[in-house]
Amino acid sequence: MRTVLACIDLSPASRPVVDAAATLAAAFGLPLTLLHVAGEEPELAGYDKDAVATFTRDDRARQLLDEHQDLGQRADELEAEGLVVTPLLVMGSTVETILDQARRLDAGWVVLGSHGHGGLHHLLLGSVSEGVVRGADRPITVVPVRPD
Amino acid sequence: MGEIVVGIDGSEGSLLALRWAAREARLRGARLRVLTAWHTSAVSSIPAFGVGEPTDEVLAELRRGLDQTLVDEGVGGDAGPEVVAEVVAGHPAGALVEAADGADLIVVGARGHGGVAGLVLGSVSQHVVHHAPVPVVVVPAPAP
Repeated sequence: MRTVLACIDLSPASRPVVDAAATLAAAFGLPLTLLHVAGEEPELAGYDKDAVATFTRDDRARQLLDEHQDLGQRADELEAEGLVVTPLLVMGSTVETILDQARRLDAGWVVLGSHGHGGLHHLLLGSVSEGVVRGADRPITVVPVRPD
Repeated sequence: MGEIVVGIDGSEGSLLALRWAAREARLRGARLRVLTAWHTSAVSSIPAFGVGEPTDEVLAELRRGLDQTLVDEGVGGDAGPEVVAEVVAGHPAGALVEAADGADLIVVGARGHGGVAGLVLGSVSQHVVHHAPVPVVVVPAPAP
C-alpha cells in the first residue's frame, strides 16, 4: 500500500472524508492523495453556434481552474499539518476514475463519503460510493456524510 | 481503547471481512467485536414459522457457530487483538449499525451477508454503508 486515496468533491460534505483520510495517513505513515474527479466535458450536441460553444468552454475552463486551486489549497493546509499530500484533479466519469486511480496508485486505503452533495441529492443518494464499492478490487472505506 | 466491529454470517464474504478486521484491530491495538445477528429470516422466510423470539436452541447453535468460526480463523488467540463475540437479536444490518455506535470502524464483506445470490453488493452491506454513524470498510471478494 503506497498511499491513502481520499476521493472528494470539494463541497463542505468532503470535510469528514478528508479528516478520516488524514487520520489514516498519519496513523500509518502513508502519503495522502486528494483526488477530485471533474466532470467530463459537456456535450454540445444540438448547439452548433460557435458563440455558445465558446462561452461554455470558457466557463468550464474557469471552473476547472477554480477547482484546481481549491484542491491545491486543501493539500497545502494538510501539508502544514505534517502530511505528505498530492492533489490530483482528473477528468472523467467519477466511479471509473476513482477505481482506476486506486489501482494505479496501489492505494491501501480508498476513502470516500457515503453521499455526495448537490440539489439532486435524493436522486444520487450514494450512487458514487455504491458504484465504487461494487467495482473495487480492494477494501473501500465509506465515511458517513449526512445531508444537511 | 478503540473498537472495530465486524459482522459475520459464516459466508465466505463475511470471513474475508473478519480476517481484514482482525488484522486491522491488531495493527491499531483495538478491540475486535464480532457480531452474528439473529433474525427471523435466518430461521425461515415463511412468517408463520419464522416470527417470534429465537429459541434457546437457535441462539446456542448460532453461538457455537460463531465460536467455531473464530477458532477456525485463529481470531482471539494470544497473539491477536482482544475479541468480544456476540450473538445479537435483530436484522443484521440494523444490529450492525446499532452496535457500531461509538466504534471506530465497521467492517463488512461486499457480498454474502444474507444477500440474494447474484447481487453484487449484499443488502446488509448496502444498508450499513448508508446508515452507519462511523466509517465503514467494505471488503471485496477476490477477483475470480
